[in-house]
Amino acid sequence: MASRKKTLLKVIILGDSSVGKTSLMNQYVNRKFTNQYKATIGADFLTKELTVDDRTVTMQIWDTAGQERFQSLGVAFYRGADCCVLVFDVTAPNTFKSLDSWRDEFLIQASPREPENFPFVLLGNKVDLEPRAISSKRAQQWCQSKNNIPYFETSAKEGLNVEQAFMAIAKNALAQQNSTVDLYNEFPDQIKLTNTQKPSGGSGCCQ
Amino acid sequence: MTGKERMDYIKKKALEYTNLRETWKAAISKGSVTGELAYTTGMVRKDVLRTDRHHPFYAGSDDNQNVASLFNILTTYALNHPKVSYCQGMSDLASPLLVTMNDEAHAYVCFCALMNRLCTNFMIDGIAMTQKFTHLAEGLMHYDPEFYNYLRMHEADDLLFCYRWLLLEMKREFAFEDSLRMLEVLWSSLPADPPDKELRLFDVPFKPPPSPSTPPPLCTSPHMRTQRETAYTKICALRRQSSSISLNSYQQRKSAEQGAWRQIHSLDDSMSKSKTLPGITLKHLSLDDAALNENKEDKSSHAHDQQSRPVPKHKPGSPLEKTPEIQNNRVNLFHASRRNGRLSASLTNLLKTTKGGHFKELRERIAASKLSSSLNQLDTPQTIEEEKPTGKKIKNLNEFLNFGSIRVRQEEDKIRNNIRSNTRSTLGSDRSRISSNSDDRFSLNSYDDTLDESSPEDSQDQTSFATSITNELKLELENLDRKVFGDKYVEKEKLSRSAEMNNRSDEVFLWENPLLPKDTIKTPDEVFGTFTKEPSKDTREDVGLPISNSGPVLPNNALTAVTATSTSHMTNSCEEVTESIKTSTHLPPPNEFGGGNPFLMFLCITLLMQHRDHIISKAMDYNEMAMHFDKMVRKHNVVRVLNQARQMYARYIKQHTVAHQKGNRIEDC
Repeated sequence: MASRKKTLLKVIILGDSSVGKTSLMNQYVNRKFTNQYKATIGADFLTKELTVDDRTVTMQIWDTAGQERFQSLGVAFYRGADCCVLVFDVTAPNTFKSLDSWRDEFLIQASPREPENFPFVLLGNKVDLEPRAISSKRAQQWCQSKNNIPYFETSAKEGLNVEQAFMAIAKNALAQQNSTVDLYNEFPDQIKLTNTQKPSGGSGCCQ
Repeated sequence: MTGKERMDYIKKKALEYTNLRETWKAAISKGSVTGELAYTTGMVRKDVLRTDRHHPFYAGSDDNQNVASLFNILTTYALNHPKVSYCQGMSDLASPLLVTMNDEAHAYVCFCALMNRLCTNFMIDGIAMTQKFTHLAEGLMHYDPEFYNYLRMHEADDLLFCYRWLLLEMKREFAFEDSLRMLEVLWSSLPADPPDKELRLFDVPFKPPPSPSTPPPLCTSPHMRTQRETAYTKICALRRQSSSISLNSYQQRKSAEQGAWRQIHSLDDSMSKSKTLPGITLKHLSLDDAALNENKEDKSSHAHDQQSRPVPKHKPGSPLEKTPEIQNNRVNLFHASRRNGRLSASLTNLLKTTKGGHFKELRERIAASKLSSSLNQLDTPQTIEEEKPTGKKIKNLNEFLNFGSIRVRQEEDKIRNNIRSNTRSTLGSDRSRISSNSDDRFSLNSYDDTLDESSPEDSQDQTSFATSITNELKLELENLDRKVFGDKYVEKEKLSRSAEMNNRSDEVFLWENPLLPKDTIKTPDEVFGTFTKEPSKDTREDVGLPISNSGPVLPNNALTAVTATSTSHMTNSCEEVTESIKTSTHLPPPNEFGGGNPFLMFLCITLLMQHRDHIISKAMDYNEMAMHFDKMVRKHNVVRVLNQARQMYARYIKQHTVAHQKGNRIEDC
């Protein structure tokens, strides 16, 4: 892998409408927040270059539409994804309840080779808002039940934990890519990375 | 209508709207904000708060009255059109209407008319969108095969990055003011399509839920029942389904699951439409034709029985089995079906042509028409007899999916009965600058006027087009109209056109009006005299379409335009015309191309072609292309795009006109 200088990571952001998917992506890529984003139709895209473990990678973030009626587009958008980011709004219980269906939908549509090992990252967004409806504990329990998905609590508005979350996303995506591209080489790392990034997640990592 | 009648009509409609709105407002004030009402208002609120807020009209705090108006419009529409409900993107369509009309009720009426045409875009089945993608791919293949091949090499020929273009008719691709202008031109290009009597402002009137424990009995109109239960319950059902909850425990919610089943197979439906056996689909059409509303449910179950596939209504659990294998097949088939664009398109054309008509009569007509060859091709290997099962020809999966397509097509056809929206009423129906007739005729007449001044040769040519339409052809056109738009349409057209008998065919079959390429030099804006702000920077090469500031275009300019593009189609020699006939037959006719909105196709093709060099030179892959166009949002040059699109459109229309009249035309030569 070292021979390849640039790596492209494809990351899909999923979640109910208005949980802050576009905001998170823009906060991460452009360090900007506005509450005037338009509803995403189809998908939006942004890229960001970053360095992960001394490697320069280009993260290509696909920000998808949250409304169910666009799900039939999933096939095209999900293909080739290296990591799937699930987002819910900690003040809106329904967006948390939808996580299962988003995860299932992704696994079905993207049909990764090893669905049980495909990296997901969960973001509980809008922690700057009150009142809180979904506790960290509840979110963490869900993550545990799904093969220990890393969990971050973020605020796209205040930039809280966004950088850390996307770094974890990048690492997981990279690990996923390595594990599929050259299985023998980086496979142990995948597990290690999943473990090590948790403390960096700040508040509310699972376990 | 006299002026007064029109005013009264508008007042009546506004009152009707207010009543519809107050119904759900009252429900909210009573505190019964649950289920569908809560879901709808929640979705709409999220989106109106972020729709065009940078525009002064919607700017400021969230309690901006215009934002509230937009909310009212969309909520009223969603609750009174439960089958469509609310879907993201609708706020983008309603927003310019409200800005333009500056009146909530009027904007609602416009929105209803617009949605008559566009609601299929938002259907979960994805059929309308799939058709538009297919047509767009065909169009690109036709106009820029090299770029299309490039896209195919990069597996981007699905063109999914154009999704928003097609869904919102390019509204988001331009800055807001540019969008208004683009939509004005785009919607003016559509044929006038007034409602039969008056525009319906509701599909199924919203009634606040009295008590949720009284589901309507099966014997009531199935049409109504399904409608009421789809939009919101679909979502609920989808949630249940994809959360892997055991389905058998939901027996009692049959119809909800039926909705879910439809949703799950959205892709299948669209896929099967293009991929499946024509026999099945045609059979469905005949069913649909025989039965209007009442019999549909029965017939479809009948069809299902023959295919021995589960109907969700009867066996609610089974259709929801959603295994990865099936999904994978779906994916593969889906991609395969995209590649079969040609076949699917011709099939779709047939289906479109046949909608709302009498099937038998239509078949005879079609057999005699130029579509006959493709129909026959489709027919011969299949049985087209109405009740004959064709299931044995398909594998289980396909069979399964076919049924979905039948159901969905039924829904679609029902909608289509209501479709045929009138563009004029969508945008400024009572605006003074629009003449009492349709936009189209107005602009065409204007074209003619200026044409006479600027280029006698062209006008002569146009006259020859008009006169070359024989009585026979008129009849044929009328018949075609009847099939496409229904009897009432034709009668109405006849009445309204009786004073202009000579030009009748020209007028009624508006698509056939031979817009000459040179006409397109004048944008409608210019014709209207509102075209003032564009500086000369936009006029540079501009694909050979110089823009004058206003007034008639000089023949010189026109000449430059022609030579700059140096397309052989511009000339009128017999050879060229014959060639045009050949090439034009590759694309669907104007009343079908792009789902009846061919100009949208040309806008999309224009955007693609304007960036093709850049894309190819940078060797962009699928994702990079998608991102490239994403970055271009609101930055496209509306004048350049409109001009190029209009030129292609005019050429296309001309080719189709020629193709349509080829017999006469060739004789003339």
